[in-house]
Amino acid sequence: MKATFKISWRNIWRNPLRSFVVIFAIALGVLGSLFAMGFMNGMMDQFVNNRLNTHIGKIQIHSKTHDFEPDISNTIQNHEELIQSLEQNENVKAYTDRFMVDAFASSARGQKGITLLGVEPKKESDVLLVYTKFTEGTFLESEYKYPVAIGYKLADELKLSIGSSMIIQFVKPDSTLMSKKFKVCGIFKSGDSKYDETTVYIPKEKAWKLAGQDGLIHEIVVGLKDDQLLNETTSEIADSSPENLVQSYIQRFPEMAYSIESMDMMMYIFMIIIILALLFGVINTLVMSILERKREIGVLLAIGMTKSKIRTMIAIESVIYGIIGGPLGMVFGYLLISYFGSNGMDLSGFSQGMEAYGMESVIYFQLPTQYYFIYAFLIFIASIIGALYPARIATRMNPIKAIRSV
Amino acid sequence: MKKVIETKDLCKTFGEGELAVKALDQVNFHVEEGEFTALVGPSGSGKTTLLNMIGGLDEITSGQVTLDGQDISLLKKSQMTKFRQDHIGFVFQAYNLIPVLTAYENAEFIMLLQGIPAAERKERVYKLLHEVGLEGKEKNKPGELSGGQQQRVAVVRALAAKPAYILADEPTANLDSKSTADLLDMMYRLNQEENMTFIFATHDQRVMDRAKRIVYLEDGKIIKDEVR
Repeated sequence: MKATFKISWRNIWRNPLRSFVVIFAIALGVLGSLFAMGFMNGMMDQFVNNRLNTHIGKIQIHSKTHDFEPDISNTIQNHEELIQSLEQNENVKAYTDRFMVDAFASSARGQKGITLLGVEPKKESDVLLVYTKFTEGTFLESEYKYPVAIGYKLADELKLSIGSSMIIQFVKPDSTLMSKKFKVCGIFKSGDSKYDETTVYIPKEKAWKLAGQDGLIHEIVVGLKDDQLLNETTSEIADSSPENLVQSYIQRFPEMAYSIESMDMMMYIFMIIIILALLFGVINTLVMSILERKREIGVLLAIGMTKSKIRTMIAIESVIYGIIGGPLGMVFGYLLISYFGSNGMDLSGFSQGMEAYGMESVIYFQLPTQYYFIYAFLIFIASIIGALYPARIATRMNPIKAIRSV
Repeated sequence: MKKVIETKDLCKTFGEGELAVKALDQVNFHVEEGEFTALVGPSGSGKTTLLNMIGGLDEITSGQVTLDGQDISLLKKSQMTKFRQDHIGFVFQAYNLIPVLTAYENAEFIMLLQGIPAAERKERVYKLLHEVGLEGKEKNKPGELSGGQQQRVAVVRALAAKPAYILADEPTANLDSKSTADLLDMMYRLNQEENMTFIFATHDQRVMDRAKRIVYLEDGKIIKDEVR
């Protein structure tokens, strides 16, 4: 093995320029793909976390028929008992119980169908981060008698600003139409333009007062202490409140889970494409190198170097390329991902399009450690595979013909 | 004396059908331990083919080759490779040292493959390099040595593994007169002092002059076998 390794190592450096080019190509390929993966993963992570942290939460509770019949009277059953069980659950960090109806917003400049949320800002802030997303004004902390917080998209559409009046209309439980003038006290930008266009917050007690009935709760959003226990906690709450529909965000928004899975799949496909490209680079280099030293290989075969040792020699050469180039690309990839993970990459130029898809314009890169290990393993395997064809060429040589070749 | 090489009715044909060329035709030949033999003949006479056959480098068309007591037709390819490693030393016309290894490393290479301990390798290589006048050149790579010096390293590489015999194919073809004389002196001395068996395929009169036995080939047949 020592002889084989020695000769492999020296073979690598007999043409330093070519070896550096191959190692650089591997490092660059790995670096580039890690960069792209860090970007994609960070973007997806932000997309998911932004939605989860801003308005979805980890668990949502509704009346079992609310999704099919979002009527104002279709409220959560046994609301108080449910709240009690939430307060007793050890993994529930906080919850916010909301009044939620489809409503109609209008200003002097336009009209828009909206989802009206009646909330307690303190409870809301314990579970979600929408209070951190205000670009102007406050989250319902105002001297206005009927304050309303709206998204910047709705504000643009209805030409509203802080202090502007907005009329909200919805159908009350007695089927009469309620209409009330609110004053805009805050404008938020959640990063999800659809949400910013259609969601309006008002104080819960005002919502109840206008509906003419207290205790109307249509949605409860739950925050958890340990997200790893999502499924268990969802089941526990569901067991304690079988009359309501208790769903984890994965159950309620399966497209989010699908997006995460798709991203994982895309990253693996991406890695495999890069590995294949590197593989062909390594094969090409090794084949060239072997054809250049045909005579030497003929001599090695003649003086008694077995085919398995020739194969090992070529595999070692291939692996050396991989184990220098791969980690080099990984180190720089890690540094780059760490830098953009802390400082973010500002894509303000594309902010409109990104926000339309619920993404923020500053992307913070992120790549779980497991991908580095998977990548390292794939590079190692690819290096071995990359040696197979060149090794086949070498071991099939006729020593006599090889020695006589020029 | 022990027979290290023996061929019986050895035939080698290249190509098939009408294009078939008989390179060796019913060759019966043997070499005993300690010989210093030259295979000579015009180009195409079959001397290099015979050398390849007794080096286990090419397949036999018919007949039998026994090398150091082993019928090589019974060996698989991988066994034949190992057999060459342990029993046969090669010296080539173009030296064919491994350019990335130093003189010392080239000389010890076969012993490394054989798994000989480091101390024994070192002792044997230094001794042989000293004997062939290459002390002080251990760390030089082939590109830093003259043709004659490279060929001497090739001889040391062949000898260091303690083979049963050494096959040398036109070893002096690329050397000047002085280097040829030095190389032949060295080989002759090893033959005389260590009883090492040498078989040459050559055109070189200087090699023929030193040979104790000359085997003449023509059209794949031995036409004369002269012992001096």
